[in-house]
Amino acid sequence: MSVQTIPHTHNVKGTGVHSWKATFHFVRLMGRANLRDWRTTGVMIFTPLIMLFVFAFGASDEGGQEVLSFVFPAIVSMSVFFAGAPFATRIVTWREHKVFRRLACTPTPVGWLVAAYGAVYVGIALLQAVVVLLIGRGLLGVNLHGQGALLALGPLALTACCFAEYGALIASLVRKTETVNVVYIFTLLPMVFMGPAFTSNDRLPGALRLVGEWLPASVSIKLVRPLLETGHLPEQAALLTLVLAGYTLLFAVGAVFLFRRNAWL
Amino acid sequence: MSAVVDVEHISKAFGPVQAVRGLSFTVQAGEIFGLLGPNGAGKTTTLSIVEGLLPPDEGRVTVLGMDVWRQTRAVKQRIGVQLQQTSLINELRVGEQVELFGQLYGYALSASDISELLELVGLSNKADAFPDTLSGGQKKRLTLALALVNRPQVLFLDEPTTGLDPQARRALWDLVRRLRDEGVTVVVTTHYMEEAETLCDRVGIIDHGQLLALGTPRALVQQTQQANLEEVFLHLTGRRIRE
Repeated sequence: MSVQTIPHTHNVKGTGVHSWKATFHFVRLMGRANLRDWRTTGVMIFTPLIMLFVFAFGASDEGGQEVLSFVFPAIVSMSVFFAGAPFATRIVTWREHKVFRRLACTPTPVGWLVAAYGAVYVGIALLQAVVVLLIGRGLLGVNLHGQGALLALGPLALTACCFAEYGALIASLVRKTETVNVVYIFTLLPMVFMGPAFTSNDRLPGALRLVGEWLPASVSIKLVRPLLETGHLPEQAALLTLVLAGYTLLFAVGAVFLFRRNAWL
Repeated sequence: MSAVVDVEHISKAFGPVQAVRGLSFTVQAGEIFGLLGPNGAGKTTTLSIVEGLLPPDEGRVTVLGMDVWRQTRAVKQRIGVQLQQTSLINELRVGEQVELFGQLYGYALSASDISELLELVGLSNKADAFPDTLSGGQKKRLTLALALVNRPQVLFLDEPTTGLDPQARRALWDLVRRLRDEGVTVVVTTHYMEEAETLCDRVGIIDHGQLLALGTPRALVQQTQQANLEEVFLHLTGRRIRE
């Protein structure tokens, strides 16, 4: 076969359109590949589900159902907090294997592809949140506001974006695949438990409590909890959304800056 | 013949290490140009600059008449690149990799396009395989297929035959010659002097980021009065083992 005569059925002209189309196909192929990797997806969803079942077994005790209802929004949010872990691992692995360098040989901007790949993980995280919501409501009988649960997908999507960018930031700082996941989890857990997600944080010193209240995990749960419980947005919804969007932007800018500084290709 | 690649006085340092020092050379249309040098000589850095992956500290590179740093995307659209490392996406099957890279260049390859391209590199029965199940040589050949998805006018191959068995190496040489005959300009780096001598129309020998010699293999052998290109190489770069 002559290389010069490889038949191309469709040649999209125009750089802008071409990049969007290429990025879309990248998302489609990587999304399919991620769903094929059911083990990783399973592990991602395993932790929030285990937590859910632990609290559900405790719900048979007196006041247990009340505790389950209280922690349920936090568990739903937890399922999207993990969005950044596999994303960070993938970035570090691809950097180690010079995949970004290979992608950079093509005319499609690598930044677009990375951002699009983050969107794949956001989509998977949202799917996981829906699974946790369905199991909570259908199997364990958690009292949920139906319309509120649908509305909660908005803040959950923003949360997933925020933690995907957090994953990118971690990936820009950590060089090895073996450590990136550990660093992500070890920074995520204090972030979750410093806030009022699972228990009251009243016993924390004042400054620490204040910080804990405004960490991304706490802000997300503050947005999601009233929606799931009553179907209404919290009083400070606009401020909380702005803070979460601010964190997302901060993490994204930080990741881009550090990747460029460290010559990530 | 006109210059398809024009490298003018490029320099590149990584901290205290000066990888490339004022390097200049041209590659003519339709030739196979070999860039030779010991480990750490600056071959890959030079190629990275020419491919638009790394900005030079000084100097200018044009490919097909376009400034690599001002018209990067237009240049990338017209060149094919095979990196030294295989750099494959392990999550995608072989066929999917070819499909994806076609899309990244703006080409929607049909199933028959993909199978023809895989057949060209001897991987027609591996379309559904994942890269981690391929041998080193098969991975190399897949990266070559990826470098050809956009029908490049200039092809850059960084140590393309490392890890290939003799049969696959000869097949690759034949393919490179066929590409050259069809008008594709090929720039190749290699450690194998026999390969450079047989395959390349002209070679440039570099060391410490500087060009030491440039010409046809035969001319270099004659000029330096050595027995073959390997002796020329050792004569110019020394016999000390490099890290």
